[in-house]
Parts: sequence; C-alpha cells; structure tokens
Amino acid sequence: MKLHDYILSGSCYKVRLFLNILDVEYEKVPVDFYPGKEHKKPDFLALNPLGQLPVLEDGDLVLRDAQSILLYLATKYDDGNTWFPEDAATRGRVAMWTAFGGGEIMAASAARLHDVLNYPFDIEQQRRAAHAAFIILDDHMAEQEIAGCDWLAGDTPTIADIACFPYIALSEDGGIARDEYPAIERWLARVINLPGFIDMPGVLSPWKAPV
Amino acid sequence: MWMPVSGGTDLAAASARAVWLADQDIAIWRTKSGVASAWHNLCPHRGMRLSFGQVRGENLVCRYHGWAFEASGQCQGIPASPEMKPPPTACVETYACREALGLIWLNTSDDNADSLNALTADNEIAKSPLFCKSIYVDGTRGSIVEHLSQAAADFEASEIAPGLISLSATSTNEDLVLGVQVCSPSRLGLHIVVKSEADQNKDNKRRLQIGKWAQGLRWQLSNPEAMK
Amino acid sequence: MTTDIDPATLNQWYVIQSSDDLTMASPRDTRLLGIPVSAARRDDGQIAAFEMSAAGETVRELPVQERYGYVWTTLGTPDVDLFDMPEFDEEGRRLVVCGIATVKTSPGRIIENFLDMSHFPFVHIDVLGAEPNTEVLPYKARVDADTDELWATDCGFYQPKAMASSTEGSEVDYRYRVPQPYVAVLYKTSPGKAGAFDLVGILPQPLDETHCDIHYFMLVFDEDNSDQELIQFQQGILMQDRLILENQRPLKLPLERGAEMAIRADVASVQYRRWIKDMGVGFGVA
Repeated sequence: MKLHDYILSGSCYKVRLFLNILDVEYEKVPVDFYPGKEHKKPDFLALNPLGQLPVLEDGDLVLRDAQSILLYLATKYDDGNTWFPEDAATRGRVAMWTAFGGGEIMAASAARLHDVLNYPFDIEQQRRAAHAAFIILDDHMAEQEIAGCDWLAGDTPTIADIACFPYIALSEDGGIARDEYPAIERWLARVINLPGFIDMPGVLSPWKAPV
Repeated sequence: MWMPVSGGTDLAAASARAVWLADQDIAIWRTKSGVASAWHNLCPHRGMRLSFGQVRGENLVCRYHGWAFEASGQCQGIPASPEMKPPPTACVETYACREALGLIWLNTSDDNADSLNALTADNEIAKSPLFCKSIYVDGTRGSIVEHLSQAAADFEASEIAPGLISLSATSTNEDLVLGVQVCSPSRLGLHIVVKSEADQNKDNKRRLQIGKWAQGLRWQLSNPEAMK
Repeated sequence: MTTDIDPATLNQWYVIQSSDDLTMASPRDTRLLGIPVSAARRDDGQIAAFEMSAAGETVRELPVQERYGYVWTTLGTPDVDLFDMPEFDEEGRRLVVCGIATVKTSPGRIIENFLDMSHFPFVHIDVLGAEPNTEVLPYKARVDADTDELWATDCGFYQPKAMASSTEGSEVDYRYRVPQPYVAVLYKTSPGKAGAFDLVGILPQPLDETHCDIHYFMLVFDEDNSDQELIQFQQGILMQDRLILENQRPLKLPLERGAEMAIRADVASVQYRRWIKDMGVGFGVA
C-alpha cells in the first residue's frame, strides 16, 4: 500500500492517523506539495486528475479523497467493524459527519493555507465559515455528551471523527481560536487519547510523562 | 468585581483553556484533583500563553519549555535546569478564582468570597445549580438586557448585578440565570444556569432542552433585524 | 518610510525569495520592513528589484545579489559584504531550499526560538528532544569582536531524530551563528559524514514588525534521502515552532533587561538581546 503524502497536509494526516490506528503497514511517497506544487504537474495528475492529496494505492486500487480512503480502509481493514458500523442509522450518521469533515470543516483548511502558505483566499470569509462549522459541531458534541455518547456518530469512534479531527485541531494555524468551543475541546482530547493516535506538526498532543 | 468566565463543567479536570475578559487574555485551568485557577495568560520566561499548556497532576506545564507551575502561580520545576530550585520571581500573575452558581468566576482586584456570595447566593438556583450551556454573541453589557427581552419571548430579563442576569419565565416556573462575561467591548459570553432537579435523567433532559433553546436564542441575538 | 527605520535594521541584506522560485514567470511582490518591494527576473537572467510606493509606483531601484541559492536585497547601505558561508563551496554538499513559512511574529522572536535548545523536548517531541533528557548543559555565547557576529558554541543535546536521515537517537553537537541581527545558521553533527557539520539556516524576511516570511534551507552531506524527505522534515519542525511563535506575548522581542526571565540555558538569548540593543535595532522590538 502506498500513500502519496505531504507532511503538512491535514487531509493526508486523516489517512496517516487512521492507518496507524488500524495498525496497517504502508509506504509513504512524499509529494513536493510546497514549494514544488508537484501535485499540479502532469505526472501526478495522471494519478489524480483533481491534483489533490492524499492518494492511496492498494494493489491495483487507486483512491483519491481522504474521506473515501477512510471508508475503504475501514471496510477492508477494520476487523472489529466499529469504524464504519453496519447499522443503517449509524452508517447514515457517520456518512453525514464524514461529509462535514470533508466539506464545511475545510474552511479551516483554507484559512490555514492562506495564513501559512499565502494562498489567495478571502481570509475573513474563510474564518467566518470555519467558526460557523465549529459552532455546529460544538453544539452537536454537547448534545452527544448529554446522551452519553463521546463521539460524533455515536458512542464509539468512527471514521467521522477521523475526518473532522485534523483541521479542527490545526485551526490555530489559520487564526481560528477555539476558546468558545469547550465541547469540541473535550472531543479533541478523546481523539488524542485513542490507542494508535499519532500527531502531526501543529497538533498538540499530550506529552509523555517523565520516566 | 467578580465576573463569570465559564460553566464549571466546561472546564474539565486536568485541562486548560483561554478566556477573555475586557480584552484581557486569561488562562483558566483545573488541576487533576479539581481545583480551578485563573491566571494572566503569560509565562514569565518567554511570554508563552499558558492556555496552551498541559496540566500534569496539580501543575500547569508551559508548552514552550516545560516550566511547571502550581496553583499558587509559583514555578515548581524548570526542565532545562533540573537541579535548580526555581526562584520566587518565576511565578505567574494570578487572579482570584472561585466557583459558584455552577460557574467559574474570577476577580482581578481582590479575593472577597463574601462579595461573590452576596452576588450569587440570593437566588433559588444557587442552592442547586445546573449549568447548561454557554453562548457567545456580539453585543454590549449595556444593551444585552434589552436584546434578551426582545429575543427571549417567554421571559422577563432583568439585571441582578453586573455579570448576572435573571430570566424569569412568564408562564412556567422555570427560571434561568445568565452569567454575563464581557469578552471584549463588543462580544459577550452568556453562561446559562437553571435549577437542578437532583435527578440525573431529569437534569439531562433539561440540559438538552435548554441547549436547544439557547441555540435559538443565540440565533436571535445574532440576527437582530429578524427580530423587528 | 525608510526614514522611520533604524539604520542597524535598514542597512542589512535581506532575502526576499529563493533563486529557483524567482523566475520570469513568477515575479515577487512583497514587503520588506513594511515597505512594498517588487522583484522580477529579466530576459538576461538578472534580477531587478524596486522599492514601490503604497500606490504601486516605482520609487527607486534596489541593490540585488544572488547568493547561497537566494535573492538578497537591501533598502539601506550595508557597511559590510554579505557574510561568508564557505561550506557552500565544499564538495559533496547538497543545498535543499525549503520554501517560505509565513509567521505572525517579529524577526527577533524567530531568531531567538532558533537559538533555543530547551524547547526541543516540549515542542519537537521525540524528534529533536524527549523527556526526561531535558537538561541544557552550560554552553558559551559571545559576540566575536572581529566579525561582529554572535556565536553560541559547545551546545549539545540528545536527539531521538536529529535530521531526516537519522535512524536512531544520538548526542548532537550544535553551534549557532548569528551573522547579522535577523539571520541565523546552525551547524549540527552531520549523520551523513563523520566529523562534518550540516547547516540549517533561517532567513526571516520581515514583512512588517510582527509578520515575517521565513525562508529556510539546509546544506547537508546526504546521499540517501530525497529532497522531499529532508524538506518535509524541516517544514514539520518549523510548523511546530510557528504555533509557539504566534502565541508569545508581546510579539515584538523585549529588549529591556528583566523584561522576561532568563536562566542559564538562555545565555544565547541574553547575549542576542544585548547585542541587537547595543546596535540600536528598533524594528520589531519592544
């Protein structure tokens, strides 16, 4: 299995994180996203015409889109069937929040690209959109907690949590503070404490206690 | 003056976060054993915001160089010089911090428990408070009572004291109290507290109900044109 | 206005772009010390750089030199030539340019963070440092009177993964060099060649007092790792520092003694602040 990857990409991190949680071996193929813009050049476009990362190759299968990759990995490699459960209603909820993670939450990614790599976005509009998405998620997690659920789609973690985690955890990189989202902060801490969790630059994970 | 900055249950044990009071950057944190503190959000070493720190047991550890501070604000350990006893100057500026009415209050001028008591105790809810939710809206302390009166149709809003508003239900017996946090001259945090029914299921139902209602209230307060 | 900027800050060479990235197809419209600057590569391959007005009109042409893989310019009149890095002429060396990271802080905070080792186990966890190996042993920091450059020497730290090419933890020797107020180079034990040093350099371009485009590079002995592996390693390090840098207060570097606390491990920072204060640096400082 090969992952076409860039270290600072939150979308690639969704896949790296999940692969580590599932304990699946793979080879990282570093792509010169910046400064080289390799992902917009013909060789890479032949692999993914959208010119985006991540791309997963598993045997003959080539998949783009982090959310689709998470779904594939859960279906193929999650023996416990908990990351994308079969129950119809749960599956619907997982799909809904996973789409949110690849959709509305991505305003936080745009803000980050603007602030760090000078992408020409309307930064105020992106931050507003990110806050609007964060409020929805914070309200939702507060309600989930009251219902005894610690995760986005139910009482166990699913690919929806993986899809939403990175750009929320990295929000400060794009000037989006999380002072007003205490339920999100509690949920982030739960993700960070999952067995097999790994971080990426910009994600503050707990330090190991001194020996 | 005592000002509310968070619901008590919104500051989990062994966690830290930033709150704003009149544009002042403040770190609130809770030890593993549950003691809440409010500090000037600044490490005396190299000015790192302590709200990014990690709580280890009874200490808040700064994210930059790992300086560990205990609840009094005094540095306990400097990892780069493990043998050195941190000097008294290695301390954080602290504020008075107490919990009452289900909320976390802080006071930047004194630590007068009596005045906090006077503020919060004379209240049916204070006997067994249930914190429900915080909403953040653009607005000023001066106009919030009026806007609440317009937005919260079934309630009569009145200011109990600076920092505390009562919403008396006109038709039912279900009063609320809002802790008012002035984050900046144009942004408020409203921390909603009701009376607990001392029953987990009933309280959860209530929190869910108030949570939904608060989302609607937040929308109303953020869309004043729609209220006219 | 350049007249508002202190001479110590003004009369320096600053990087505004890497040579490879300033092509005929991609000119650079940017700011230096708060002043709009435009640079473009002409047909003959030379670079022309100009100070611009706020309205977008050319004010004057600026001196330009290309060196060490970068395009340097100045808004003032530097007294001395650009500092030397003779390692660039060594056989077998590889220059790896890492791009630009934009960070909202002052150039002085950026340099100080670069000179600091005590944050390694807390910010670059399990890479440049790890608990419980947190002690910073005494090292030396002094300004070389002949060259007027700041050096920190005899620095050492145990690093789980010192460079992209490292496969195991090692004791790493560090030397830091600050040849001018807002440039820093570090010389660290090379995993690729015994007895040699690899270089990592940061060249913050102050857009404004508290907003910088950080240009950074590595000059290494390494035959095993691809450019991408080296670049992404360094970019990761910088992003970890960025979160810290943007959350220090004040953003401007405090120069007054006693403004912040210093311990033995901070001797490089103490020397640095004193050095630039004595020079009369007033830009980006508090």
